[in-house]
Amino acid sequence: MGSPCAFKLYHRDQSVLDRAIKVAQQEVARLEKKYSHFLVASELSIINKQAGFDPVQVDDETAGLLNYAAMCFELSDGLFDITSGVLRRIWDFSSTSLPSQQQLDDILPTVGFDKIHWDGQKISLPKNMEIDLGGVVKEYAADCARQVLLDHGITHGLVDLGGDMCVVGCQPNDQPWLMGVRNPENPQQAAVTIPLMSGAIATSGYYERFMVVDGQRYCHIINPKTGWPVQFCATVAVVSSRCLVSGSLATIGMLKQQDAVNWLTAQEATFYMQDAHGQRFGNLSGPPKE
Amino acid sequence: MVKPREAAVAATKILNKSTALSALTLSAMAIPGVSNAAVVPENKTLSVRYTQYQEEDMPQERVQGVNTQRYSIDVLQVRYFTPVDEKYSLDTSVQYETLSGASPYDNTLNSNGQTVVNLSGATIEETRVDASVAGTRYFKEGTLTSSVYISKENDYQSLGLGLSGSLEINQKHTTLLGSISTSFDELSPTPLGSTLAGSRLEADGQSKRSFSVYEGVTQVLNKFSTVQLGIGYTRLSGYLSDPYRSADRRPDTREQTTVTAQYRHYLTQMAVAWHLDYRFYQDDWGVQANTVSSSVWKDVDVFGLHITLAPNVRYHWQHAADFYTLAPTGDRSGEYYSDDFRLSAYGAVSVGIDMQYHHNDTVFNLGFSQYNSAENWGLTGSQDSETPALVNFTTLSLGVDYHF
Repeated sequence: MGSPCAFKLYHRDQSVLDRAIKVAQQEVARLEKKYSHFLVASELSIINKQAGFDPVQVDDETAGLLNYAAMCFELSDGLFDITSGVLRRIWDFSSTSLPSQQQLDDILPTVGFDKIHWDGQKISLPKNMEIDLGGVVKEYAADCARQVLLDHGITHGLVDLGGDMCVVGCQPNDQPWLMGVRNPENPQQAAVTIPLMSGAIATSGYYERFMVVDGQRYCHIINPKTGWPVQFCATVAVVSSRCLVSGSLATIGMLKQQDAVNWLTAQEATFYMQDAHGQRFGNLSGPPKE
Repeated sequence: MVKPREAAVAATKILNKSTALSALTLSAMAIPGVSNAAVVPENKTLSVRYTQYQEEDMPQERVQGVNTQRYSIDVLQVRYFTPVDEKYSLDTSVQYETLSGASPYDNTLNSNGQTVVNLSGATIEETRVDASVAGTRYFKEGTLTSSVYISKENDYQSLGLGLSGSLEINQKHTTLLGSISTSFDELSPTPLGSTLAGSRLEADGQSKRSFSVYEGVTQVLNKFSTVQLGIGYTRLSGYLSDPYRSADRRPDTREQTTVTAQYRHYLTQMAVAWHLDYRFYQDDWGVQANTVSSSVWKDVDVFGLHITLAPNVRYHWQHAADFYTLAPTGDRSGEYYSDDFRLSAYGAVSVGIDMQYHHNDTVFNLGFSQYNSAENWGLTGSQDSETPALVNFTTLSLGVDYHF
């Protein structure tokens, strides 16, 4: 999925392990292929190619993901938006130049989930619009891989798709899995360590992809309403029963900026947030720093 | 289909407390994953298996003549299985069999009034080669397999075609199974001495056909048990008598019906998988048979080696065909008659054990079973005459499966 994938599993029968890992890898590869932005024949590319033309009938799985994305859009008041990928055309994080306001004004009319037509079975995009499921597929794949492990009778396991992690049971020694949340100021260190016996954790942070222009950090999480990267939060990590849910709540938290703590608290989320000044929030932040 | 916005509102309304966490969790659970679609195997498998089948000698006092040796068969089988693309697999196998020994061809009465068997005098040495190819297409909800096999020995050849499919429904808890198959066989009996005469001559060039259908259903009962029920029908037609028996005349059609039930249960406490199978068989020749078999599969550690053991037991009992007779050859009358012990009333018990040892990508198999049969195990009451030709045998098999 463009980032390292790792599985940690325990089972006394090596052949069960081999089989479970193979099928889980296949499952991740299947989703990567199906929703790839880069493969021209992927289900996603077919939808995007039809923008401005005929509606595309999607399968049940894609419909489920689109319904989910629609709900994220709704619940985040339009901040979590799978149509915002077009903004990447003008934001080049490998450069050191910002897009012009003219460029932003030109592209913002092609952003907005409420502009596409989705009836639960068929999707049609207006001309020049596209959708990008990158914000949900990796987390969803982690959930699916976890299900594969369960189906193979694995009782102790960990799925790690580039930091989006699901666990199956505890560690074989009955201890919880210890999940380090990267310190945004020094990603090689953990800002906080979260013990996890079940469920999933996903993290979003401004250290993942960014550029610095005139001493100001511009990260890859972009507010679809303004076209500008968010500034306030350095990282948000969320624990829930599903990696998909953890991932979207973490991203919405980043997008909510100053409102992140209040919003996540109101949603009864289990989270850790660190702002750009290093201040820690959330019910996973542990005891206050000395 | 509910529109997503309506679904979102509905989801939040249902909950006393509307949070994005609960609404999104519900929505995430509603995504129909396809992780448990009919999985295409991704490994190639090369298997080699050797089986030795050995019939016990007949007791000397029940044999006319000195030779008491019956069949001994060695079978070498090589199988290659490979996935093709992402949706197909190909399963090929070649089998080479050598057979030697003698078989009963007649019976008579000895001075004590007991039935004694005449075994074919000269020891037969024969070989059989068969080959089969099966291609499977994997769909999201099932599989479709077509197969063909050919078999050739010096006095018999056979060609078979089959089509089978499976369909998973009810969230994969139920699998419907179906198959049809047909075969075309041709007989060319070997001459006795240098001349082809009698029933052998009559059978030469004769053919035999079969047509079978099977319908079944597999149901997952719960996490630990499944049951499979099936019904099968086979119609045989053509030359169905045994040309090597001195007086054997059977109808030229045979309609067979089977009902099968298979139960699989995993006993968590003992970590044992238990298999229980039952088969009922009836045909229009009057044969009615019941077969019960059971095995348990258990992983054990022996001297640090991780081995799967599967002891098994099987009991079979049947009624005789209407025209089964032990009357001496010259005294046989009526339209049909046969002294083939397989058409008699009898019971049979076999016990055996299979062992598997996994080492990386290789599986070693070892199996042994002992089969014994007797007339008075048949639960159908004694017959007028005994059936001394009933057979006891052992099978020993060794195999290696290599997955790569």
